[in-house]
Amino acid sequence: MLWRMAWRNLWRHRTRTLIMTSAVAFSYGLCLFSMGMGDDGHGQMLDEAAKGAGGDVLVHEKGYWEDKSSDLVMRRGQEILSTVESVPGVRAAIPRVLITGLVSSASGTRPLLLQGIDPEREKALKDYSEDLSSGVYLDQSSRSDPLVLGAVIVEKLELDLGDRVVLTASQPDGEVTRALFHLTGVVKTGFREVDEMAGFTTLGAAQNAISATGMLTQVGVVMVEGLPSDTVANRIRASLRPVGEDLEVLTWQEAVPEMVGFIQIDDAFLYIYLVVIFAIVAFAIANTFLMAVMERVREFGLLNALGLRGGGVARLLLTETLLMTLLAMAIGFVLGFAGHLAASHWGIPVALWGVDDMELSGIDFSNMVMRSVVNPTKWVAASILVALVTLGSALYPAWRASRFEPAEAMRLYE
Amino acid sequence: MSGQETPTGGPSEAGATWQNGALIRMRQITRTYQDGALEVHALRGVDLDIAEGEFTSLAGPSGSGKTTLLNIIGVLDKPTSGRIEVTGTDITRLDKGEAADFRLEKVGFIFQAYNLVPVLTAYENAEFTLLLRGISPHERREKVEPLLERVGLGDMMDRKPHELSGGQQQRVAVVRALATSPALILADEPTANLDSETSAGLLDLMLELNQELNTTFLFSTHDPVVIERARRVVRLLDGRVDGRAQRTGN
Amino acid sequence: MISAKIGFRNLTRNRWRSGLTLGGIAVSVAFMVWILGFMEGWLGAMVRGATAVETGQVEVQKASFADNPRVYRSFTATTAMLDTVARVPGVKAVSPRVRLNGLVGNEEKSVVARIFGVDPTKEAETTPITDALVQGRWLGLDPPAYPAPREVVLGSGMARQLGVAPGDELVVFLEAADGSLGNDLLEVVGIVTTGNTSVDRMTAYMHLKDAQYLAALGDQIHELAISTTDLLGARATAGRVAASLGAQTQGVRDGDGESIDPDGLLVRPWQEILPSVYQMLTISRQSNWMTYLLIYLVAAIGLLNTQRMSALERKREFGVLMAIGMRPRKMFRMIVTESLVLGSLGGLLGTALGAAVTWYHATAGLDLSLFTEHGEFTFMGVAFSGRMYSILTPMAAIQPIVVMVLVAFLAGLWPAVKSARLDPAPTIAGRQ
Repeated sequence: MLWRMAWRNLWRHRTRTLIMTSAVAFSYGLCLFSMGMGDDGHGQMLDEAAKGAGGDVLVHEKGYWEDKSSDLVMRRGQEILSTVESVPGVRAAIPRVLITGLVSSASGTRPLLLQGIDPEREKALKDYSEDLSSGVYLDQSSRSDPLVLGAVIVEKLELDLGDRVVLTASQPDGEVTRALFHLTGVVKTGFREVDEMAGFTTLGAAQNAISATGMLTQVGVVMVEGLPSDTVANRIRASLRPVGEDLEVLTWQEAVPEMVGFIQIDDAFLYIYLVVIFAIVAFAIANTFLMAVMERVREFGLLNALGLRGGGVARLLLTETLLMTLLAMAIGFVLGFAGHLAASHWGIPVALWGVDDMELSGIDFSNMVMRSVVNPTKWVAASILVALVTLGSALYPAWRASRFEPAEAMRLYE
Repeated sequence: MSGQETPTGGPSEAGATWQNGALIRMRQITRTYQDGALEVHALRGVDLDIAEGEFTSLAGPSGSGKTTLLNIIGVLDKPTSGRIEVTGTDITRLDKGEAADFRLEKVGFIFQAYNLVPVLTAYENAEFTLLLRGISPHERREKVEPLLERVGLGDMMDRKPHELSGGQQQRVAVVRALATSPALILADEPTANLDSETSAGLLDLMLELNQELNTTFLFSTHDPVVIERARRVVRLLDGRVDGRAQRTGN
Repeated sequence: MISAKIGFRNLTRNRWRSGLTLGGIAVSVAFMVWILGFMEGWLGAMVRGATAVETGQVEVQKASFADNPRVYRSFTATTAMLDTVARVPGVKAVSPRVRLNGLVGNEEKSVVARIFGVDPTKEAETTPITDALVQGRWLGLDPPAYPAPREVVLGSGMARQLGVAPGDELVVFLEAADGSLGNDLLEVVGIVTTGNTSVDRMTAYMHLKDAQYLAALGDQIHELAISTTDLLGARATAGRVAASLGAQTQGVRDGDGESIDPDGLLVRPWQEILPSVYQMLTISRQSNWMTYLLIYLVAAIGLLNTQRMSALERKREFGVLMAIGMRPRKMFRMIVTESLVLGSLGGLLGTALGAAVTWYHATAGLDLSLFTEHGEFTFMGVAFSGRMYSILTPMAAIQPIVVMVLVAFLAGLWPAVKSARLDPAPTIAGRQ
């Protein structure tokens, strides 16, 4: 009975109900949609950050990540690699030799980060052969000193395929040495860090270049889905203890904390926006309810006189609010979810906003396409909050309504 | 004065010119409107002349059409058929804007309730019509202050409506209506919310003003206090003038 | 004006209603003021961080060097040239530089380095490098006499990698203009943390004369780094610098940069040198309008609602006013004025509130660790940590209220139109 009255009351004042409902529906839908897109964006950033760092977990000689210095190599490379591979939770262990040095051609010199990799194993994380713009990738080349360079380096050094290239770098023992390579391939990824500064060669060629046979700079770990990186890192640490070398095991979050920082700040700002929007909505709703109560004073006085006590009037109002909230949230949910589906199906490329080059914490996001992902916990939490805010705005007006004396109420009009 | 007599003399204060001396001439006025699914015949053919300086009451039970007739005379409503001239102007030809201007200059209104703007003082309410006409503040003061004094509200000019009694509020309405020196003042149930003593006082005041200024007063009412004091009573029944019960002269 | 008088007084009629409406408007305006001030601070820091130390706001280089930096693509800068440029309106200071690539290290390690050969005094005038000193001192006025090692100031990241502190010695190898490998002994005299990641990780500062000698450049330089008085006005300043030198420009006017003589000098503003930073600036500014839309839309709904309900409540009052002769246009204007009063008043409150909070954040800063446990992040190559400072610009303080008044006007149109269209008769007769 109360529900029927409440529902009809809502529709007696159709425009007003529609205005309020649309305000709540819009804000709620916006809330869900932005959370969905934000979470997707952040998820991508996290993935890219892990990739950019080199893996979900990284293993190096102690102090390497901080210094990146060439004398910090893991001498028992093979042993360490096999040990890490066998740790539960590790999907792939990727061996790398990383050399910072200078690369020169007849036309000049440029700084270079040369990665000596195992192309097959590297595919577990990234496959650079997809970005090959000319020449052949490492696994196709028969040379013993193949070199694949970023397109910008090739351009600035005026290189052609097959040209000789000299690498100048330090060996683990500190001596500066030079090694000869031949350009076999060019990659164009669109990522500044790769195109301008990176080169790839085979693990063996890299080890030979700096007289570091059998040694590795880094083992990058790709984890099994769903495990927190901490857990796997701990397991790896434990399993490596018997090996004896002084090693460090880092989760990617420890390796690139700035990315984590950025994501947290971005999230925080989203919440601030939503809080402000809801504050404004709450003001409007409280206002509307208050005015509605004033307007219906006579009606309440009448109900009172007919025997419906003060508490009953308040209950009626709260029921109306509840129905309106449910209606608004249903509509808002449909809107938000529709937005989520649209975004996850079509995606919105970041490039649409005219960004050619967006770099965050060293990771390039220019090609990111924003989709949407639902985080059920967040969505439920948001829904509860929205419901509370909307219902809460009606509390004071409902309380006021319950305190009207019938006679006074009837007299107030005419 | 009977409705058929012709007063002579120069133009009244309002500067109206008319033919045959009648301020208002109505012939066969009908007014029909839709109220949801129903068709309501509020007026079914009213013939009436009102002369300048009359103090006349339209009387009749609810539904007799008196309010509708008053609204038509005040150019708030248009008749469905018939002819009506006020101060010589065929008011059925006026568009909305012209009607508003006509009301502002030629007619004063006093309503039963909601007469005054709640947030304005008595003085500000009273000068409102002059303000709408663009009269300067100085001239407004010259016109309104004496009128307020005249109706006994000289020391209550700064009060807001909720600080005035019902009767005092109606007096402010009277001043506002008179401020523009209209030819005609229309009052729709002005005493409906007042007790009989206050009603009597209000009516006596209006009677005095009518005699002083020769402004025509036309009431729509079923309050005996008003009817008693009217010099002429036109009874309406079911949308027509009830020819049987007419009182004139006082 | 009577409408304004009625509008203002109507606020007192129902204190809760006015209060809540003003509250909603004030919150939205306050938030916009704060966001604008915050963005100004953050974007300004980003642009300054990206440009101030590394490139300056305007650069003069040989066009071929700008396209592809090579040691031998140098030019002569006379004292007269430096003076001419320094006198150009908009130029704050000029620093002549040599830019070299090399390896810096000792027996244990060596790292790839970008070497800036600078005039210590001029560099300190043009860039905030001396503010960035964390250990030791800046380069001395003149290079020490031989056989003492050359002075070098390292970026903190590089210093950490090499494990050196002021007083330690290093060796430098670099590519000279004549193709040979220049080398020399260095002594670390200072370490800087500029907040610009590429400077901190890879850059070493030497005396201009030392660098010229090592790289066999004679008295030639690679670039003039110029700081301008106005960050955004760098384009115009670049144009003037080019005019004073008779040089080419890129990124100053439409169409320039199209046919460039590689041997001539080229002047570029930072917007051209670091287009990604400029893009980020533009996009962030645009996203402000998105925020305006969302926040003000919600506030507008609230205002519309209030005005509508108020108009409905006063139907009879309006009917009387129109009956006594108030023209519809005047009625319309009266209600629109009320909306404007609400918008302006709420806007003023909001501006005051927003300005207060922004001013607090401008002076004391906003603690980033509130949002993230690390309290730091890097964006576009600039490191942010600790506290973020807003800037209360006149635009940030004035724009939100101006937009709000406009929005209030628009939101108030519907109730105003509906009230102006009222037919007085039925209202008075009680038929409605």
